[in-house]
Amino acid sequence: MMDLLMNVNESSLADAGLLLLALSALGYVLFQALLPKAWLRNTASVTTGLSVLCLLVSLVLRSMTAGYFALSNMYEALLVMTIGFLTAFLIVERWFKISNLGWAVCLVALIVMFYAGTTPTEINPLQAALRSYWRSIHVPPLLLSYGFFTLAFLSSIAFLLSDRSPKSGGLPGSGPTLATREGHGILSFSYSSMADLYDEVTYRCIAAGFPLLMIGVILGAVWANEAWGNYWSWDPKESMSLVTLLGYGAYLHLRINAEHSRRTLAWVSIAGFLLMLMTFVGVNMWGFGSIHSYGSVS
Amino acid sequence: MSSQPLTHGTAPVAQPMKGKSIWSDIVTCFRSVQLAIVLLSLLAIGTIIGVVMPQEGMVELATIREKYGNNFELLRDLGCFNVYSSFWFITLQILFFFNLLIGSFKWLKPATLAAIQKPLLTPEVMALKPDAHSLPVLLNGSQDAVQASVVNRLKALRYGVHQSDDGRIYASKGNITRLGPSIAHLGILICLIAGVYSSFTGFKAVRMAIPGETFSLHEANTFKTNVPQPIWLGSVPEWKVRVNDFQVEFYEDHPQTAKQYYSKLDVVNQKGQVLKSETISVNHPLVYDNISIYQASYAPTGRFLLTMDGKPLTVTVNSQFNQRPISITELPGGSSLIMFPFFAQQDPGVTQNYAVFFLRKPGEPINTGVMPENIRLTQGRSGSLKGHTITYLQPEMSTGLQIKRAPEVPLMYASYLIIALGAVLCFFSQRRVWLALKEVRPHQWEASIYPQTNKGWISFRQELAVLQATLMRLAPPQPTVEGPRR
Repeated sequence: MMDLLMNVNESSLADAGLLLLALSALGYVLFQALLPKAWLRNTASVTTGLSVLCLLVSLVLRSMTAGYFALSNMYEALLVMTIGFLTAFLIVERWFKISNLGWAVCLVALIVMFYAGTTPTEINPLQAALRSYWRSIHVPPLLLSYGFFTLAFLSSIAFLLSDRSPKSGGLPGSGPTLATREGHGILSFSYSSMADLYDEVTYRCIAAGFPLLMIGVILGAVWANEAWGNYWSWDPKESMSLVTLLGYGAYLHLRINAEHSRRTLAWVSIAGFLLMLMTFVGVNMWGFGSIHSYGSVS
Repeated sequence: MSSQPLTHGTAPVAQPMKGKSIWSDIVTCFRSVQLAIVLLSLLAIGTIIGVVMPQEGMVELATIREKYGNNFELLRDLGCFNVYSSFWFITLQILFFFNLLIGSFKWLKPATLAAIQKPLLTPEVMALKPDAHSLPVLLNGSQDAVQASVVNRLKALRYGVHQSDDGRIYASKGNITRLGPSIAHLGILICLIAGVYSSFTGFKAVRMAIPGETFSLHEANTFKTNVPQPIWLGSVPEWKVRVNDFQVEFYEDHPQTAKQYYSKLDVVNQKGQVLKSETISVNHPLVYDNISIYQASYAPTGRFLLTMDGKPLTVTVNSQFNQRPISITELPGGSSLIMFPFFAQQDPGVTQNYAVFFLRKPGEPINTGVMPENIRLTQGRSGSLKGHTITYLQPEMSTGLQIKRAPEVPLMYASYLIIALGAVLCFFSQRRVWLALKEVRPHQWEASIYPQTNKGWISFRQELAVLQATLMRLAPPQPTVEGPRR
């Protein structure tokens, strides 16, 4: 009975989280299109936060029902990734004031969760290989990095749509400009356009996601060595995570080089996101025979 | 008032070189960020090929040959079926190594200087900086009071402050973060070196062993060094491994899923003396003499442990019935015990291992039209068949042990730590502010400011606004507005 109650609560909390997310999306759309009021934006932010809370509690209840940290199949991975993604957005929104992206973030989170609903959701016992504390510390950084990369992807799209300059360039550090506002005597770094802000957000999200991905991959290598005596076995999932690392590594190195335009960087960020998708879902979906088959989508 | 773009400022600028040699050309090429980007991209593409194309060792070569037909030989020659050991992929890795090595040296000096130096700039020098601005305020008060106020505000913002008596201030924070890329690169280099060290000294072996068996590492089913034996520098110890017991634990409510499997092992010397005993399981290896023994897998041996009328009996799969493996065992007295085994993890719909037994007496006719008398026993159960008591104990399992000598582990783990540290440091920024006070009228000071950061402009901007507010409070009510110095 207790188990049943917990299951009901877990799924109903997840549903409540989705409902709140839909409300947030609506709030952000209204804020963006019709009613650019601070109270509406703040309400949407709070609703997003409540949605994260519901999903988080849902995960906790699921873990209690399972008897282990519920991060062993694709549904749970997508749930954790969504929590990470929304949390990353709330942090970045507060930091960079990018509520303009709110509706897109909520929409993507809803799509991810609806997709998660199509994957097997039942709780299964853990395979012997997964019965390790390493599972709980190896996977979350990866999923959190995916959250940041998804945010970087949205920000890159926003940049490309809002960038009106004929040839944007002048990196790095040319986004904000140091200016003194005439007549006011106030020193300020002002962004010449929203495009500059989106470019900065993209960079910071990737700069945050990259070490998380790196740490996740490293922890996976240590776990593999502790469990099987193999740091790296060129498993498709491992290989694709390396490719994702290399892709975002290329972005960070491109960023050093001032000759590359910000549009190029935005496209590299989008390519990095596609690589991340391939790593996260594609490897399992297209059956490359990964040993990470517990993340199977079927 | 015009706005000026900020630049990194500390990025080394390529200097024209006189009398460049081929060697310097090579060095210049290898230390370029462009080459790093090209190599990262090529390594990524190579790895994707390895993911998409079937790889030898993971897929049977015959299957690959069948799939690719006439193109097989060409693709194989190009290393497409063995990407990660192919000449071109290894070449890319070697190039990447040297690019990292030389590139890291290139960045190390300016990054270190930016982290440790505390240069003070005069207003005149700052005026030459493209991003320097004079603040549109004239500050009231004595130099000491103005300077102390600015310094206190910078310290409150957690800047380390270095100042001179003539009103020049250098404030910075996050200095160590400038070394982030170099630290990460150093970690990757150590990781690659550890990998090479492992190749020349380590080995991997796999042994499928049944309980009661003792084997030396030389007798493993597979024994592999990463480099050919003639240039391998490692050694294989003489001690042996004894497998005392092997057990598989299944979930009660999911009998087809193994919860854990255990091997009880002894490490014994040539005289049979036990050097170490341990029960290993998945994720919990035995470590002795820098060699780790991992519980990697298990497999049925094709033998089954039974008792018949209280006496132990081991039967072996030795025949087939409708393409199903069965065991036919001749018993003393001429009877035959026929066993049809079914496995929870192999047979559809089977949730618990069981076997169906038939007993054929000598001379008993085989009536194909009628199902002979039989008994179905789940694992661990007993039953009676034609006056005999049969107990189905368990299928005999062999334990799959992976044995590895990995002397590079401390170095490898250290490299991981360094990489992670470097990657985390890369997220944070170094912020530097040069300030210079210049007395333009008696007891009125003009402040010149030259801010610089390598990333994180938004929060830097907020800090500068706080600093600005402090300076504004020190200014007379009607400040004179001045434009940026160019």
